Amino acid sequence: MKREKLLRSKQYGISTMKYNLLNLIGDFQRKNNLRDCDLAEKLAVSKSYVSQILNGTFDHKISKVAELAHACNAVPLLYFVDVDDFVKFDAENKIFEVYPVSRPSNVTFEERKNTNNEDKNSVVVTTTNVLSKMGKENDFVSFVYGKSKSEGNFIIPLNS
Amino acid sequence: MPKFETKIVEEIKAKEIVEELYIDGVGQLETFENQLSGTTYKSELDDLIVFIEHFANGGTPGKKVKYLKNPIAGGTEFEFISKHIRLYAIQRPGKKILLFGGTKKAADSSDNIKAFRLIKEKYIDFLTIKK
Repeated sequence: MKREKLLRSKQYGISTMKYNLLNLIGDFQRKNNLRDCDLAEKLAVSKSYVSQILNGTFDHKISKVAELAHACNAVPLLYFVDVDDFVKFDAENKIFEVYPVSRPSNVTFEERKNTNNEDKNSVVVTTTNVLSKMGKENDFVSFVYGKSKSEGNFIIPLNS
Repeated sequence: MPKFETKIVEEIKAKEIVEELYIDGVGQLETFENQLSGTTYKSELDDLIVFIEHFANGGTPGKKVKYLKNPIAGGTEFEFISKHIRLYAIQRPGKKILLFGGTKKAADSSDNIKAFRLIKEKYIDFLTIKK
């Protein structure tokens, strides 16, 4: 229960994003063998700002995150997973990671026009191409997450 | 002599095991958490817990972990740092064990490290006697 409470807290989302960014910048610093002052120069920020990043005491704007990622030659992708699904998969010791998959094509989104009315069959696809590592190495499944007014939240495996 | 045991920290799921020390059935992390309840530091503790998970998954430590100098016998000593609070842990084979939590104020006066090392020493003695 303690774990679930933590996963459902606002702090978990903030901390996870923060430490993912710390990983990116820390790896960039290590790979390029940069001192803190060199890193500040590469990222075009002050030394104290670098300290804040490495101390984990920052709270960036999205534009700043994008700038820092760009300086580290990375593309920041922001995905959202339904918290109930996240908690459910976590309880099964499954984690969410992002990997490239073939771009879905020939998909019709005509159902979208129904998302604001009471049509019980309406469907909103919220996130695609999120892959979950399913235990064994190299054993990945791609999911589409969505909400259906009749069925509630759903997860459809794509490449299982 | 008090009874020592360790249990997995329920909040943390990582590649490396992270446990907390229980002394006479009382969890050290739980005790610290209770001390912080109702204060603004509770979210900082949650943040540190998420960081420890990140670290136990092999994530970049940044400047949030200090390896304490001149550790006493019984394994490497870590200080996990947030703005106002500190958590102290030791490395044992295949796992990290959280032994003590304190505030920054006490850390600055080195009271935390004294208290942490006293617990560590007693715990290591307990393990030695148990053998």
